[in-house]
Amino acid sequence: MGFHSSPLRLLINFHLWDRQQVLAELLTPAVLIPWLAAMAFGVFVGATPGLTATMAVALIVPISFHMSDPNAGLAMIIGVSFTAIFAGDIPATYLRIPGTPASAAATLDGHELAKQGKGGFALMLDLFCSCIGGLVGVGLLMLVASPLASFALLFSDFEYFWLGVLGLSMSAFVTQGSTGRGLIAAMFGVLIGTVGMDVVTGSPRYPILEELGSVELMRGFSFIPIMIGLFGIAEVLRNIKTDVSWSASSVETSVISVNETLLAMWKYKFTMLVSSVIGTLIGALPGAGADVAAWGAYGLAKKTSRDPDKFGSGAIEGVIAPTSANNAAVAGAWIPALVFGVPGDAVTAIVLGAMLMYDITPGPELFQGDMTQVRGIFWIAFFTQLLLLPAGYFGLKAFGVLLRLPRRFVLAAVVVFSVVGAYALNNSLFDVYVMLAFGLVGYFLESNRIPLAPLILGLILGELVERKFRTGLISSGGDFTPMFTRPICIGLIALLVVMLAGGPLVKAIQARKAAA
Amino acid sequence: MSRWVFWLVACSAMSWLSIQAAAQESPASRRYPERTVTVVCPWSPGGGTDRVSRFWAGALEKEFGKPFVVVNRTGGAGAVGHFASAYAKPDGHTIGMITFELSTMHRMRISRLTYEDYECLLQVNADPAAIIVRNDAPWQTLGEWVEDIRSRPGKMRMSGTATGGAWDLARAGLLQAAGLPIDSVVWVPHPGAAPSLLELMGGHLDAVCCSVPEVASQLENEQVRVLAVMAEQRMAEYPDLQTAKEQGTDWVAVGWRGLALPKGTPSDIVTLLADRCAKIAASDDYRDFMQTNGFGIKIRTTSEFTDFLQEQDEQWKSVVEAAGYDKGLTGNNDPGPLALPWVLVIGLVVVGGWELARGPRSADTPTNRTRSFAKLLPICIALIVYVVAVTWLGFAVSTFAFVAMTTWKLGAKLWSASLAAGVILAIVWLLFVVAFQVQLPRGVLGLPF
Repeated sequence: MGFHSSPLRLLINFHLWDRQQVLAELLTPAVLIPWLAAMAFGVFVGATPGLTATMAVALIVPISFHMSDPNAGLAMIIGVSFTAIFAGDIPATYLRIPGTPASAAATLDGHELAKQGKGGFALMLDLFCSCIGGLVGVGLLMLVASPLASFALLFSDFEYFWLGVLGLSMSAFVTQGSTGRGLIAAMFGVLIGTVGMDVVTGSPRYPILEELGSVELMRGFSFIPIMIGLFGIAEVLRNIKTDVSWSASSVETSVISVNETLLAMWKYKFTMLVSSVIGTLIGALPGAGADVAAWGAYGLAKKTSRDPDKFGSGAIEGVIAPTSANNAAVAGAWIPALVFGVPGDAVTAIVLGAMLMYDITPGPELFQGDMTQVRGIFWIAFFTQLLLLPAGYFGLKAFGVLLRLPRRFVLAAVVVFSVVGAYALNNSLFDVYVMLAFGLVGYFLESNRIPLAPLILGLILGELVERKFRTGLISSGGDFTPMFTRPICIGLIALLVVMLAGGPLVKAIQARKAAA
Repeated sequence: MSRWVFWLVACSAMSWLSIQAAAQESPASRRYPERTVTVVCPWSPGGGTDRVSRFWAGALEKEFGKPFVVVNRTGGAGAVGHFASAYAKPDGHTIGMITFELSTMHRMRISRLTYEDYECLLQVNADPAAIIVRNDAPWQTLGEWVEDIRSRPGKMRMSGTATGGAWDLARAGLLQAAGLPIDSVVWVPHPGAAPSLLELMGGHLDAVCCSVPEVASQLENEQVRVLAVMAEQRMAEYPDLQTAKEQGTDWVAVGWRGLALPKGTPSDIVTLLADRCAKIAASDDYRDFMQTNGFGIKIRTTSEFTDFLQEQDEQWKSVVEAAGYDKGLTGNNDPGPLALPWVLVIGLVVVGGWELARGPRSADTPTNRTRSFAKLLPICIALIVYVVAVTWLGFAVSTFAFVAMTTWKLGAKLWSASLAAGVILAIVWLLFVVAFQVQLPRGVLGLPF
């Protein structure tokens, strides 16, 4: 492919970039004010379960066209797409309800820290790590977009299949306690995901459900109502069960120290950087997204941690890894989108559509010539990460104030927002019933020590694994060999073996040594 | 005192309902639209159909001066959204955006819906299917491509959408018209044109079938070429692209979008809407919008549109049957939709049995369990009552009651409980109803939300 030269070119010309001019163009009130306003909007939407990043971007696009300065319009769109993902961590940490699917991993250690009264600290970590993750993602986008995109193209069905299996095997790492119960949860998650339309043929999978007369069941369960129910409603029930003071505030908000945050980040700088790079790589794969990236980084951080037993009970690395990865993945998703002009997910699709409106045609051409356009986009994405700090800080402060209200009000509000959030996604009351049912299911599972994180993993990845397995077989004419012989497949299988067998093997060898 | 309040509320509710009922009787079109009109889009936000739906909602809103809101009801290969608009109350307050899939889904038994379940308003768009290959592909013309397939049947891989989707049927018809068996090309199902194009560029596919606007930027960047467009004539926007007909294969396949109302909508409302829609379709705004997005304009008014849909129904019947899709969509070495569920059920039984055999390790002792059950029962009932009440009484009333009652039960003073309920309602209203234009359930009282 002829566009390998472009990153080099970009690197060589880096010193020629007229930074002062770009700064002068971007950092004017006419751009900064709508930019920050859009990001504040992104925080609001991201922090509200049921409102997705896709909706936020789709809503901001028509507004952005009213801006007289095209830079302002682009900045609004790009700003929203990054902030919504960070903001999803806020309710995940404080209330254990992920604001977006990409934040589900933050319900583990982030929420544990919040229960210990360190929610503010966890969120400051989230904020700074999101910023760093985003910067790493945008940096990689600037420097190696084309080779990375070409690499992502090498992934065909079987590679995605193994990637999905690798992701599912994370359920063994993200759980505490019995592996068997983790496995049950993961399988249950995949099974829930199979209700509705068959992913490959697009026809009803269980015709009997159609006979029951429910067009909604034919469609299947939406992910977001399940997520809201499993975490939000189940958490309310658990609060009711344990005797709590209803007039006390629901979360102890400690004084947030920037120093402490930076120190923690410095201590775990490698986790942060590795997670950011992993996040960008996974994000660059058109078949995976920020949610997969967050879980992947979490699993890897636990696997490589010196203190893996702390994960799940408030480990700082467990906060840093997913949040760095999910913001990096947003930038990563742009790589194939900008290089080939083909979006990998819904959010990127809308951003690309908007770029066309601004007369920017994504594709290899963008990386050739004088690159004025791509430079503008990169700088906007770059500054968005920095602007995330004030916008996100405002968001978590505002949320923190709300949580100082007596617990009874917060819990009632959680119920109401769970109902509206589940409803708003599809304007469907069925989704509200699903949300409520899964609230009860989630409570029941947890009281039987069946963890919820693998269930979410199963829901996210089940579809990918099944679809890629089946389309892979259709594509290869029923031949299983490419599944085990394609080079990237071999690499992924090796990784899988190392992750699953590595730990016990090392332990066994150490035990033998100790015995000898 | 409380009895007084009850009768007061009951009487005012009754009189309100009777006013509503009386209001229903006067000629419908004179007061149309009486409230927010929903435009149901059967595909997800951000896609082509969604963008077209949003344009029409905006234009109709300007025309009528009342809100027209797009609601995405996705899933089931378009069946869910089409179902929602076909079976909405036929009073003109639900307009359906209908798409190509309506002509084929009943043949494949995905749904029993047909165009006959609608009052067709206006066809707004048509984009012909096209055969797309990589720029470095060996075939220069449709003929060369067809001959290559003929010489090595079953080797070439194509995609563009799911099995049985619009573009799959388009290429099936093309192969049929070229005298080739439909299975001489392997159709690899992918969720849409964008992922298929990535597979094409990665070399995992030999060709893609989709509409030309879907590959506009790759075409401009000379990453791909178009072998043939399946249209009657060359496209106005792309006069260089040859049609299949010119190259000797007589086949036309067009993806279309249109507006329709549920069957049984009063004819005066249908006429009113059809007139206004035709006016919008003729406007410069519409032309500009479609041009910017690269969508082709094709306008067919009420009866033309109905005739066209009748023709489509026949045209695709034979293709669906020739491809064998009327008997099911699996085959081609696909393990089928029930393989995974069986694996999971067996896995769950095995692992679950093993875990049970290791003995129950529940967090609670039996006495604790009964105690926590007793504690949870009231809140569970409250939650269920709340959710059911949302359906009947509408969102505002039931939410106010739920928040006020539960917080009051949990020890809040009555005034602070009501204040909290009011504030929460206000936030929901601002965020969801005003900003996001979500239509929350109104219930029988007919409150705004």
